[in-house]
Amino acid sequence: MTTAPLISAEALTHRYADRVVLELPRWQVDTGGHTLVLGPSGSGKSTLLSILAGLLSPTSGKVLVDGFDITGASQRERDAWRARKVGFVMQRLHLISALTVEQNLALAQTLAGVERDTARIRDTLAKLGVAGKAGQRPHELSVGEAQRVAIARAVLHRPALLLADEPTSALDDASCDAALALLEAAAAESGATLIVATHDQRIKSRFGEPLLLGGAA
Amino acid sequence: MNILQLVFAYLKHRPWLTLLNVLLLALGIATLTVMLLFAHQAEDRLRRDSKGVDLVIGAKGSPLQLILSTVYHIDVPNGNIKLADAETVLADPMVKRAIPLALGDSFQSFRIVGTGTAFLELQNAKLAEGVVWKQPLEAVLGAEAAKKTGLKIGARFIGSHGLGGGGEGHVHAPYTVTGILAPTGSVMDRLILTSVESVWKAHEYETPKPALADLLKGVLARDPNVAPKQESPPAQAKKDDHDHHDHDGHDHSAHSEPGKEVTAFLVQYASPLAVAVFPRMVQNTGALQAAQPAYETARLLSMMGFALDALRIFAGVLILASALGLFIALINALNERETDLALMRLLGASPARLAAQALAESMTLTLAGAILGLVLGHAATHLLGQWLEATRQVQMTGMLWLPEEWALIGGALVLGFLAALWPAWRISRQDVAPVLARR
Repeated sequence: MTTAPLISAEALTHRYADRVVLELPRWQVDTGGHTLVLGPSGSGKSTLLSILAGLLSPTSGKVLVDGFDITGASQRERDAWRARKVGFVMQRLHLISALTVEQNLALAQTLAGVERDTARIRDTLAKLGVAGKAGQRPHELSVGEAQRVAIARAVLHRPALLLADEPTSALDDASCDAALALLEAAAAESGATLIVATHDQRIKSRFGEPLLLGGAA
Repeated sequence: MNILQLVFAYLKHRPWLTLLNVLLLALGIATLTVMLLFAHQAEDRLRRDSKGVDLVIGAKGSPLQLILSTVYHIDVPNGNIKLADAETVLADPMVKRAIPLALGDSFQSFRIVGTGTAFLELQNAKLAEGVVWKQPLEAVLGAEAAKKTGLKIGARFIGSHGLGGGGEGHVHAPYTVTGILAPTGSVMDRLILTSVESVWKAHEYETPKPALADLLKGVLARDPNVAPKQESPPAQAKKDDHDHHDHDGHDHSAHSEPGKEVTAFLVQYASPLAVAVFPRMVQNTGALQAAQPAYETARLLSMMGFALDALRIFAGVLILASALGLFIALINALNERETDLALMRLLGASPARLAAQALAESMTLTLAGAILGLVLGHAATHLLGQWLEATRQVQMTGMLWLPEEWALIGGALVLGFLAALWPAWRISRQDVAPVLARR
């Protein structure tokens, strides 16, 4: 029996003015897999993730994610779909400084349209080793702790797709391994398909065949 | 976490900026509130106190001063008039009622007003306890005067020369309290009322009984509450021994004519047509002045209007400055939170929700500013009222809510909405991907 791919992209192109920043004739990612998108800066990695998250409409082509036609949907539909189905971890962790860790996660639940579930928040933080940080504000966290909180926020609503944009670029080798292990564990725990976009060659070995963009090798 | 919780978290995150924005608007709203409360109470008081008085006849001088001293009891009189002069004009059929006022003395800064009981009727004053005066040197106290002086029925007190208090006491003529008025909310509350003869007696005018009755008959005969029961003082007129010194609010030359003077008459017309003729007739006597409370009050309000307009402009500038400050604060907040907003879009917030958040933040600030401004405005009016009462005997309170104040709250919310419109629009149009992609 063949499983339908989670992501299916065809003839995908994106231009900024006259410059082509992304060209992807055909690409598929299986459900539950871990995929690496590798390429130098400006190769279109972030553009691809933005399209997969429904933040950006490609100039041309078609993308289906978990059966949802991102390219044919309205902005409102994409927003609603993204809130439910996508988790996102960025290099800049983007925790809201006015809120505590727990409030950051509660806001993510609200915006995802799910009931506030404090037990789920505490449980997720505990699994990522930052249970004691719930009442702290982002500036009181170390980089490692902030990254764990950002991952917790991304998987809190059990997304089908977990996108990570340069999650290890600013980390040393030990932290890099730890961060990837966390992402993989969190994706596995929430049943999400993990896509990591990076120019960081150190992590290449942890994944299968990567999607190479912009002449990456 | 709903929009308001997020708004409060952001406002709490920058407490000083939040406080500054709120305070700036609050100062403008407070100024407007003080102005509203002051103007309302002043106008209300002026109109209430002059109700039923068509004309005041008094000594030559400033007509406004005549009105202020005899209707509002907040200034010194121009002087006294001879009863004989007044009688000539007051006998005219155009006059329905004329109420004499004799001023010059006070007790603990509360003015002693010699008058007829028709004055109580005119001011719609009712006795809370006791009876009205029947004999000279019997007095009825206004509610506030009774409360502040602590005088009860049967108590005796000595009036002092002059209206400001502190003058020489008329020890030979102590008053007895026979009644206390229920609160009226008008100037009556602060007066001590007695008969005209009492004032003369206190100044040791001892006018022959028939003469006084004769003098007043044309005037008071039309007031059933006054004339018939008045007991006149003893026969021999005696010169006031205060003639040779001077006090605030008291014209000694006026008192120097034994027993034949009062300060003014409050006149009610028999017909509205009298307004066109009667004041001129009074003016033509040469010795008397006619002042119309309606006209002088309007003139006073117009003079007050300049001050109120200046305050209004000041408050308007403050509010505009606060709106501008709010607008700049929102734009700055928007720039600072560009990433937060992009993140929220990423997490599923719709552009409309983010715009609503900006509007809610702005309107929360202006609502807080309005509420604080109203509280400050009422507190300031109350303090101002206490000071005015202590120094000017003018009653003013901050414990009063005017319907216009709802408009201040509504206006502040509209201001908050307008100040946030452009920032909200910008938020809703934000392109998220480039912001999040920025390293």
